[in-house]
Amino acid sequence: MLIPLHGIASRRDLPLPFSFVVVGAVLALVISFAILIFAWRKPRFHYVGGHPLPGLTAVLDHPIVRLVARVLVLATYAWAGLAMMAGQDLLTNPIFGFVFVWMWVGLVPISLLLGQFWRATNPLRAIHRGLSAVARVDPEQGLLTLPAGIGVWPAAAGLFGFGWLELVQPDRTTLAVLRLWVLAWLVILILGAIVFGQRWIGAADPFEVYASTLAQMSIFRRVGDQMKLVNPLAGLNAWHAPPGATAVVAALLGSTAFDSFTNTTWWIQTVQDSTAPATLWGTGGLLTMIIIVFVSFSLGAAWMGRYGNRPATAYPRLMVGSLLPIVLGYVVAHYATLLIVEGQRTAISFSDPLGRGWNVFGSAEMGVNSAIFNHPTAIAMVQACAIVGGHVFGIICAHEKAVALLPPERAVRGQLPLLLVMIGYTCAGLFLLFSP
Amino acid sequence: MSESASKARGALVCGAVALGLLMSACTSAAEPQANASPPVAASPSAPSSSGESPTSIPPSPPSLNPDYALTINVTIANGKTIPSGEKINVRVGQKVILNVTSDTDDEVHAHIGGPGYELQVTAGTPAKGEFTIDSPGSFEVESHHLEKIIVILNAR
Repeated sequence: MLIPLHGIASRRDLPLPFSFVVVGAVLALVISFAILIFAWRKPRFHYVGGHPLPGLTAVLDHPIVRLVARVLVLATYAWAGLAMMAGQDLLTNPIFGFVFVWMWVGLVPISLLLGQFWRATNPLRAIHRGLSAVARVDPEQGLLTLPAGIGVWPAAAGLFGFGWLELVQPDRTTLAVLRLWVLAWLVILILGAIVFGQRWIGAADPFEVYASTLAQMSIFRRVGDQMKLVNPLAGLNAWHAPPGATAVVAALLGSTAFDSFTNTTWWIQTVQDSTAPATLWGTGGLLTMIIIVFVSFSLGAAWMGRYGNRPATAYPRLMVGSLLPIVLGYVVAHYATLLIVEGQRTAISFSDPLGRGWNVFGSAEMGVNSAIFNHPTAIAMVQACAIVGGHVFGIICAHEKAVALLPPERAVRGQLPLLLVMIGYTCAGLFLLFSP
Repeated sequence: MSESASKARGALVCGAVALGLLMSACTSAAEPQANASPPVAASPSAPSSSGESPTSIPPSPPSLNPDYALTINVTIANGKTIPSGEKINVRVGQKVILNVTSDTDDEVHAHIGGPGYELQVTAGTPAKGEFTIDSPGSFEVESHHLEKIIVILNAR
């Protein structure tokens, strides 16, 4: 198989038809202002509510269930690690699909459907717990205390790193390059956990932070000691975003937008005709995209400081949850077909990690069902609906927060700049999918 | 809430919805026209090298008619490709012909799903290859040696 220059898939989705872009943008605009003008004036999601699930709580908290889940996940990673260390340096090696599709894209549905499953079964935590047991130290206790203000800032840097690996790193689908990145990930996370205790993993692992951030929109949520089936909007509203959460979301949104941006003819020609190295362009472009999201959102949210009684700098973190539905919409629009088709390919090659004709899980003989590509209009429809739908839910979350944080008579004016910023993200997202 | 205020709101929203419908109607009316005209990029004019244009290249027919082959003339010279990253519309099942001249040995890869298509190019000798795309999607044709995208084929 010929290795594509960019990413692991040899096919991208067709550009969004321009009519979809216009209709989507108009819908986003109309619905946004309709919500602003007509929606509730008093907070509705003050309490998470939801249905308690005592049975499920008991099962999930059972030590054996936890152990089995952790061992299974750890074994999956070990199997992928075997492919990485001993497998062939070909695109048929499942490690590439494992990292770029199963982990990076798969964590989204896992976190939405299963809540904090990723955090509960993170193999980094298992490895560190094992090491701590051998050394007979408390895994929670490090040599130093991580300052509380650190929040998830290290993970924001890690997400930029992964975005760079996914979109800029030359030869990213070769074993030598991937091994180096995986080694760096393991060393930074495990050493850090030894120094700062397990809290470091929750602060610095880009996958866990991405997963547990998206899990704020899950229908399953632990409230106090109990699992509950909740309204995702109410659950998201209850999220206390840690310091650095805005940077995490900006890295997610910015890198996805940059992925689309690099597919525009303008970008390809500019980079290819330039004498500067492509990695320099890529690094600069990715950073610029993330900074644009970070600054525009922070300014839009800080505007609320004029109307509320908190300092302006407090608002970005209070409001950042309302960007999560937009992140989700972007991810669905960009990666849904990749997860469905390349996810299957990975499952097939997962049976034969070393390329020796094994069929360990019985999947090696299965074919990839790529019939989804025969429905480009349906794909485009899903993409446009994901972007606009994410926007609508984002606006609803922002409105809810605004009426809770600002005096009622000023809530509408206060959230207007943020609303415009979000409309900007949505129109940009649609336009980038049109990919001129 | 006063009655006049709610009326004003109603009017505002009705106006916005009407605007939205109007705009969507305009674009859907405009769409077929955009599709009917062949993209200019389909056949870049003669290669820029030295003026001796290859005579074997057929004139480019309407690119979106599946009965005609889509011909793409590619020049690879001085570390650059012409065209460079252009988007070209093509029909699923339509024959795509590549005419490649290069000043270095190269391979042109068309990532068209499955194993893909590969065309070996020898320096100074025009190479010709053809393939068809089986299902809809957006596919890159690349110079393997330069690691640059020549064209992106949007197959519908």
